[in-house]
Amino acid sequence: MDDKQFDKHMVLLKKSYERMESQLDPQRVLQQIEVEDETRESLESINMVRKPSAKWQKSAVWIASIASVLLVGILISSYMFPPSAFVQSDEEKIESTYEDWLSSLQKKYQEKREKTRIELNIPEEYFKKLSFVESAEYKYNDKAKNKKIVLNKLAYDPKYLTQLEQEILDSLHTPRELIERIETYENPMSFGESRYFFSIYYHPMKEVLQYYTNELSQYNKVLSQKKKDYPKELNQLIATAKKQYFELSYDGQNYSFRTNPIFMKDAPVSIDRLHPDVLGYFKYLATGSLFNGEDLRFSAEESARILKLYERTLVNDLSNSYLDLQLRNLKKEFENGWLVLLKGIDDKIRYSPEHIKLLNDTANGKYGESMRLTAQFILEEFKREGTSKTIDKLTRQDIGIELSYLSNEVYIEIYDGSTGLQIDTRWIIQTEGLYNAYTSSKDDTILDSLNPMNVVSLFLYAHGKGDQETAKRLLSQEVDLSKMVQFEGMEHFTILYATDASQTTIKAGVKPESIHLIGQHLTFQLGTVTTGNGEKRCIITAISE
Amino acid sequence: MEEAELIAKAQQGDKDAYIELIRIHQQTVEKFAFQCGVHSNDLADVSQEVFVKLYRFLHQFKQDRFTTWLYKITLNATRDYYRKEQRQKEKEGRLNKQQQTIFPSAEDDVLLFEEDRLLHSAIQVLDEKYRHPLILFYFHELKYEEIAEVLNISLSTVKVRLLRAKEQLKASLIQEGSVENG
Repeated sequence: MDDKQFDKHMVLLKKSYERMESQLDPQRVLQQIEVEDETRESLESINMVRKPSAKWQKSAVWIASIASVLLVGILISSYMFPPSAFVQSDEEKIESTYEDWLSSLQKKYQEKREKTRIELNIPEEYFKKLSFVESAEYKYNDKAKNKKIVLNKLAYDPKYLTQLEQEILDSLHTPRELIERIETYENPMSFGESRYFFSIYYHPMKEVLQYYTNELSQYNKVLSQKKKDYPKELNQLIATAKKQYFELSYDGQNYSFRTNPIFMKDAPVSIDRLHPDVLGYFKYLATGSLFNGEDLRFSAEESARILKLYERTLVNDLSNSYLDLQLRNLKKEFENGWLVLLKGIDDKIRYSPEHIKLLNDTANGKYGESMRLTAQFILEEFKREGTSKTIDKLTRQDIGIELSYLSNEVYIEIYDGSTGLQIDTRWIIQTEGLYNAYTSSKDDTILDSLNPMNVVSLFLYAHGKGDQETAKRLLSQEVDLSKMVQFEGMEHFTILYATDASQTTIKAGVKPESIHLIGQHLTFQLGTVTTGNGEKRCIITAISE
Repeated sequence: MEEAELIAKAQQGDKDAYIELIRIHQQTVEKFAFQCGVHSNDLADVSQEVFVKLYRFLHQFKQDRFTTWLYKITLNATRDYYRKEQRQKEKEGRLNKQQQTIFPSAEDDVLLFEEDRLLHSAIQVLDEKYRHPLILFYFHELKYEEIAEVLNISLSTVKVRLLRAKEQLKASLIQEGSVENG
């Protein structure tokens, strides 16, 4: 079906919808509004008689609060009892409930506040200035203690007291408690949940981290000495920080604490529940900047591996339009990192064998997807002319554009909320580059570095070209290629998506016009084999239509 | 009377002006609710809820965004309706597990042609994140920017979701054999 036919069907349906006869009688809307208003007014007058001096009782919202709890009772009993006597006793009951709750909260709040302060080992004069402590203080003083507001809220939500108490006490969690609370989330957590978790974790963590790092500055002279020579107070500071999953870190110039609840040795097991696409944020917090001045702090390979982790986070978050400060910083780091790696850093002088290897690995997808095509163009230009104009002209913005393209056009949401990879012309060109790199070199290490999506992509490309030899290199021995439907070119496919987080099952969606030839999709099961050099390689273990 | 004038008068408590506003927009609301999955038997009730809610919040509206708010309120009302429906279905399912769910055929009264009914059903099967942009774009002729505002998503997300909605709908129609494969 082409677009024109599709649009025609939609226009016809639109016309049918427009023939619908309206069923609503506008007078009924007005009647409902008037009935609601009358109920409201009668309840208001009942309360006015009861306590005319209290201004807040005149509020329609408050009246609705009584109504929501007692509406049925009031309507029935108003025929039997003097209304003022009845409502007054219930009002007293609600107020008494509130007073009891506040008194209990006061105790819990003070206890929790002090427990948090002691665990963090921060003196009161600094502790009270931490913004998450101030925020809890505000919620406690301005929300919980404000009887009028609480009773109003209670009108709409009978669970308000429980929720408010939880909100106030949760505001006082230490970074450790926040991390350990992950076990109360679903396993595995969705991206949205994981992203939300990061947002509530980030600010309290940052403040406490900053306090410990400030404390560290007094030990600058001894920090470079052997650990056994550290004074007792410094060891205590490091131990207190460690309880919060903070590690002592040295960036070549300064010592500081960094949070590392995911990748550190003693990370809690439940941290695995987090969606892999938020790990880039935690990695960035644990690593800090990749740069020391203009130089990379890590090897090119290590930097590229870190950037691959950032890419997953950026691609997912950019498409969700969360352009907050952390995202902007991560994006900047990503762009600067790739700019230096692609242009060639000091220890990998431009066009040196190491630089070319990094470009090859990048083009073949070892370090993510965003820079593959750029690396491929550079390599092609270099092979042709011994130099690359793409490298000369490359800017941070170019890298940002590639990332946005990946985010907006390549990775797309599919119907179950997970992410699929769109097979468009660019993707086919990228896969062609990978195919050419492999077939011209027969270098099996290229296959070793492929992720499940790229294994399936390369298979579809090779099979679509009729190259059984390459296709078979991607399959386990049990798979009988001769039984598989033959098609020409990769253009029959529209999307690749994994049905599980570990990508052991990948489906290749077929374009509507090719369904009669291939079916609605091909399903690939993936596994790993250990190669001769001890590397684990991803291969296809079964294909079904 | 111009719509802007009606809104201003309704905001000041003029109920006749509000009735006139309802008359202008009621078909849009009912149509949108139906397209979002409200059964035709329930359209009057859902639309009534929409206009009661709209009245309560009327003083907050800026005139240039009136239609956007109307779509947003309708969308929320259809979601509430859908949740109630789901609960009801679950309840019925628990009471009588053997009983097959019979979907109401009231749509037959609204959509007279078989092709329309099939396309309408195919749209209902789409996930709401694809269904809503598609409905607003094709049947309400909203611009990308307006859809983004109603659904509270970015412009690029609107474009991507529309593209996916179209692809999924085409595939589903071809699979169902409801339209010719051209």
